[in-house]
Amino acid sequence: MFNSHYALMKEFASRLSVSGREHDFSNDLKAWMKPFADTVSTDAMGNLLLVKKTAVLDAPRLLLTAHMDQVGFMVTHIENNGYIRLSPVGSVNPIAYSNIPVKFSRGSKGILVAETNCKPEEMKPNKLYADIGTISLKETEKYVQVGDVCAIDVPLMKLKGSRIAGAALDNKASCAIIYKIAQLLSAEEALPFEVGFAFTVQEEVGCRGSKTIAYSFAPSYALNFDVTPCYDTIGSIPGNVRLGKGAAIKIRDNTVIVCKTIVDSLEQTAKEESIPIQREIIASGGSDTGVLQLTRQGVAAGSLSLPCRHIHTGTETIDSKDFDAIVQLALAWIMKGKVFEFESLG
Amino acid sequence: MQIENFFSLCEVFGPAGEEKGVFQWIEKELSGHGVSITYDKVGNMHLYKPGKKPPPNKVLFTAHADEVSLMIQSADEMGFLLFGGSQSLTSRFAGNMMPTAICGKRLVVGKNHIPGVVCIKPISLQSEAEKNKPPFIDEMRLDIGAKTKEEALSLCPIGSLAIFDSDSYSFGNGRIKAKAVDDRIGCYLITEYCKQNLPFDFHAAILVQEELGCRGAHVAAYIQQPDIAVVLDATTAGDVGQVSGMQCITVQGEGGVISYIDGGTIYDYALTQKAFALARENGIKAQVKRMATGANDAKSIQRSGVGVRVISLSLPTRYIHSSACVAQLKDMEAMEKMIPLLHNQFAEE
Amino acid sequence: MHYFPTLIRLQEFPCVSGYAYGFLPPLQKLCEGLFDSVSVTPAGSLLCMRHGVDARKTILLDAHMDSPGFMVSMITPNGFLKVQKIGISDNNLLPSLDVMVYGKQPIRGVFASKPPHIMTPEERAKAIGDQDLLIDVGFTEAEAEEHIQIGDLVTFSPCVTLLQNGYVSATGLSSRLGILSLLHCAQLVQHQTLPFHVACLFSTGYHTNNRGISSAIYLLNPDMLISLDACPAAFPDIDKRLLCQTEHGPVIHVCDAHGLSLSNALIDCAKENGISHQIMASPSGVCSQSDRAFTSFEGVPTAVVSLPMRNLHSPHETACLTDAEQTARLLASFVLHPEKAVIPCK
Repeated sequence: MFNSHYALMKEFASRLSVSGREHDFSNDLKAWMKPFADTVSTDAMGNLLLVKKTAVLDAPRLLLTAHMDQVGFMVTHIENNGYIRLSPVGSVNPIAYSNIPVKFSRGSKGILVAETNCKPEEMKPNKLYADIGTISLKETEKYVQVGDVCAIDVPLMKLKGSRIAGAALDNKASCAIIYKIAQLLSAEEALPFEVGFAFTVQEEVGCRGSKTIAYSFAPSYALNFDVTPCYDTIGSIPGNVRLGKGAAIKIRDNTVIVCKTIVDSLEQTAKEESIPIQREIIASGGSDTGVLQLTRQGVAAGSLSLPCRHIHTGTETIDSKDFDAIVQLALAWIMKGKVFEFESLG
Repeated sequence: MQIENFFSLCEVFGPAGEEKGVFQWIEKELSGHGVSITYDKVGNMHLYKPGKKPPPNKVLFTAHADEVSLMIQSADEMGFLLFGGSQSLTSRFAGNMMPTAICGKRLVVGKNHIPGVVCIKPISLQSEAEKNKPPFIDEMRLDIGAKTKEEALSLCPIGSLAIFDSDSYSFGNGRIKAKAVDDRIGCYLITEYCKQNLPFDFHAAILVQEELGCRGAHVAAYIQQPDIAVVLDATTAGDVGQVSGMQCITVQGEGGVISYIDGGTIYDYALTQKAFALARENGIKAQVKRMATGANDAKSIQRSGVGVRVISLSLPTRYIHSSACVAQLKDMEAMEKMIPLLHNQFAEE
Repeated sequence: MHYFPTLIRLQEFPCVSGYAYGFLPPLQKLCEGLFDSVSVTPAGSLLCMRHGVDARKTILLDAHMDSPGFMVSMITPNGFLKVQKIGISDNNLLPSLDVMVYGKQPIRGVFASKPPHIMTPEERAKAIGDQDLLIDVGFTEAEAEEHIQIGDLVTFSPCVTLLQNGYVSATGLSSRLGILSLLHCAQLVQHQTLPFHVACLFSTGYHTNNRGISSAIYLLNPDMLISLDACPAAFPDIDKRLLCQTEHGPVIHVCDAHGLSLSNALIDCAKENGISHQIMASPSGVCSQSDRAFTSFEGVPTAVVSLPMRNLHSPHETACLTDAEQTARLLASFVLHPEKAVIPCK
């Protein structure tokens, strides 16, 4: 259906899904993913779960997760003169969001600007406001209402080589990765365990959605897919992850220390399949992996991350080679039954 | 609304960690009204009032019993008590209260309600620098009139809880002043609703320790596992002095506050839209929260167990978390009118 | 319980959040003969059960086994190891400190520091930053990469010293003395009938996401939880009125965020049994492990009992062994007569 990784990611990234308003994108994902799963459900928070069942009784359950929400803004107030006041949803660097084009829930396009004469040291997300060209509260309300959302409107573009840049690759690229894995799995023979594909909500505001869907599905094993920062840009602090160096196997972020056996299992598979990998430890930032690990009596949880530069901007940049490496690694790991090596140590 | 009755609830001693006075008030009010009452392991009160029929959706209404409070930590050789509100031993602030809300006010301590006054160095003895900044919590003392450290600690042992000692009254153009309006208004409205004959079975939880981080709510929601929760609380009204527009957060006189987003929760979109539609259709005032500040028990409830669809309905309250909360009767009545509408609508949503 | 020799024997086994598995074998050996069953939970913690007469009630006693440490995040071009903290450490104590690097084998190293004469006055006035923690293992980059990889554990070099008057100083004492005190309690009641089930949990994740206690509460749904911890003991120039003292017995925390019933029952128990103890007010919480436990799943009435400890979070945590003995006695007395602590759920 999508004839290249680029076409796939471009389609996914074009959908607006600010945290708390993932519904429309969720419906699209449901339609795209349906051929690859046996059951589909949505929970109270809006998480989307598709399950590929197994004939084996009492089989263990593996959950693959990717958050489907993106950072953006929610409209909380409209001024009498039509300007739109916003609250940031997720971690937003106000400098990256000043003077940018945005798109709103009901389709309107506009600009996001900073209050005039705001000093750099005073810049905070609530100094940003949006203008869609209207001149009164009444006029604005025809197009945008309190409770609507908006996000950066920068479509994906191809850079040289296999690199792609644009907005919302965090985390539409990982949703695309899960799509590819599900597609490839559907062509394979039946598995001896159940696989859940969960597209979670509200990760950007504190890993909120993954908690409830993991509780419902009650997996024994889980693999999370998200982007991870690269340390190879000008001015970056030193760090290991680089764009194009391969699938990043998460060792640690500020929500989780992944168990050694999990890391070893993924690395071993990569070695056997000659898939390029790199170890990921990040200086700051979290993911749904920690939430997965804490579910019920404990879950053996790991994570494969897509290296991404300039996260939470309109110029997020990834390498299709890394995308491919993650899909291949996850698939090989699942098909080889390596899930049974996923042991949760202390 | 029976305002004198509401005042009597506000005046109950109910700090976070020792909310049983509030539960006793509610039990007394509900005696003979056919409400079954249970308590869970962390002390939340669960109410169940049977209605004409069970609802297709289980809807849980919540309010929190606790008020802002401080804890006695030690005493000095002169018999003054030292107190704090924050976990950190070195914190110079009191958790969730402004220092100016505390100093110069009266407190009562512990189950014997020992009265005391919060004092700092008198102004005539303060330096210019001291006069120009609010005091830190470690600069304040509670004077209960004790003469020695031993006397002070025997009356108010380490760990005793202290709340504001503040009376209640109506004033101005339909306004009230009382302590603990946050969240005795929620407790009051739930209690009153329980006294009525209801079309659907009604579930409610009166929660503990909201002021310490929405703690009781995790357990109550996990046990009840509702489909939908309506969180009743009080929220900041900033329509004071020159503050206007978005900066007010909420305004008095515009009805109960139904938020799309706050500092802890992104509320269920469909339910929030429905709540506003109900208000409009029934001529009841309701307003949005203009900035995403603050948080309430919804944040603990939404993500518990398999997940819960949540909305909140709050009273716009001036000087919240102080001894003198000010609210408008019109807004309280608007909230009261919304409760049956929300219950009946969401029961079949 | 022979505290000092046991601490010496445990030295060679590091136990840091995320790397606690190596500590389980020696710990299991210490548990031999004391419990009816010993198992490892899905979160990698050790759960030891003593059965009681009333099978419907369970007391959970928790001592965390993990200590703070560090993780290798990068190998620099000149062979130094960049490390990230796990748990709390005071950066001012680190320069020139001996460490152990657990690569393919344990390797000795030293926390590096710039010579003072090339530091600017501003640098000298500031603590070393989290981003600047470097370990010198005496290797070139190639040699380091031979023996060590990203994600490897680094700890303070283990050290146990007997001071005057029954005081002991050791790395990781705040967790290890708690473990030994809990084992001592198990020894004291070894041959006695217990009214309720008693579960002794040696938990991991104290310094990270509390996965050990979360898992145990889910599995056991206990009726009460007593967590062992350590709290700072009096030090010159800190407001003594707010601190505890060594040699005055365990600290019983009175905490509004845990409910007050269990701590009141412990205070009564201490008074009735003539056990020296201290009471500390802990407004709004004690530590994330017990704070979180109270609200987990169906909730559990909680109390925290702390060992008074000097030099907390340093490589030389110091305590008086009599306090550990009194703590063991308090817990033993409590589990023999816990009836008064049961909170009726009406």
